[in-house]
Amino acid sequence: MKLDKSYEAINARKNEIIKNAMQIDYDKFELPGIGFDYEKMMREVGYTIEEMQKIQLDHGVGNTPLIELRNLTALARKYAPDGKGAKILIKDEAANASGSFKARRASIAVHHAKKLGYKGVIAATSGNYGAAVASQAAMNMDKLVTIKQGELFYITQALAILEGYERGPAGNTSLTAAFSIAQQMNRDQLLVVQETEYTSAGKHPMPQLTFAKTNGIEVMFGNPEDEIPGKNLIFPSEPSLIKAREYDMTHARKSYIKNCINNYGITKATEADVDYIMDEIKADREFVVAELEGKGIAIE
Amino acid sequence: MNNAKKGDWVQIENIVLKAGHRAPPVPEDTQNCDLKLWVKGIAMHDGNIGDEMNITTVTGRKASGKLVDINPRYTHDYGDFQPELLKVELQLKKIMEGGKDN
Repeated sequence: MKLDKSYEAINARKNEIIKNAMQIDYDKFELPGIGFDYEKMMREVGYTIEEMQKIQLDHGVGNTPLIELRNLTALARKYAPDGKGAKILIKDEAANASGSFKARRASIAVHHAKKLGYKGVIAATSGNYGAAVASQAAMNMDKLVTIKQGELFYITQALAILEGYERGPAGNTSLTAAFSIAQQMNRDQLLVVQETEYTSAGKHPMPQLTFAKTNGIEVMFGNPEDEIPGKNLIFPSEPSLIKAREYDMTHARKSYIKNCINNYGITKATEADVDYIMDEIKADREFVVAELEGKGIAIE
Repeated sequence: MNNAKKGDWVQIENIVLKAGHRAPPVPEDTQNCDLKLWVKGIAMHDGNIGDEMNITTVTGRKASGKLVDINPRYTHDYGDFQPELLKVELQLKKIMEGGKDN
């Protein structure tokens, strides 16, 4: 049988494809309305922390070294008020089998596939994982900070020059934020960054900057605050200009509610829906109801 | 080398979705490009660059498409020298010079 391979036709078969590929019937966990029962799903396909540690250790994943970044800490302390400047440490996730923290979830996924009797695995990837993490963080965390591209390249270079660790720049986002956050924490506190990943031709800052310039991005020194994504990349003219900026969670929460309405095509919401959204985005009832009603959704 | 012999390591190209038939959510400039797929494997027969070619991949999967390369190599590199990175290096070394914590 020759199946229709247009985007629309494949999208229409999406649920069936996922069900066949994953042997997980997500429909079972769909609650009436917009809710999804994560706890029930994890009871059926989940692993305990101990089981996951065992699987990871059997495959060269995990137990990555925890390294104190003495020089980067000293640099941060130069810009911190008296008594501030937490000690910065990294879990060197580049020491995982595939050179990044992604080996952690991959090892579990492959183990699970093997247990289910699959002969192989495939992965669809286009770098959307980062976007997914950011959106999940926005929904589930109390606070999310962002940094600028030029700051990321500066800290990547600092890690190589001051500490001798040539990593990333992908995977150095948290370290860049940590450099700023450490300056607000006390000296006797520890700040552990669980990120870092391998570098290589293509990933290294040099080819990335080459690519940016070739595509018309202006690279300069100045205040990263003035950076315009897609137009320029501004290296901080000095390290004190590196700042973790708080992301407006209200924006992410509003966007989540808008997506709920669009994805489920709902015209009214139940009390269970409202409770579910409140839990998902850590928002109070007033906020959720106002957002829903503002988009023409009546509460039953 | 423009002709592949049966058993050579080759690369084929396919168009998965034509321009104008791309996924609706992708940006407009992407909509105007074909979505292409490249697959590497062992040539099942002789053929010239541009010909239709059947291959078997290392996992044993059969695929076919336009022959585009023989013994395909990776061509990515470390790019051009970037003076900005040197400037950062020299600045950091100056800031950290000689301190007892360093």
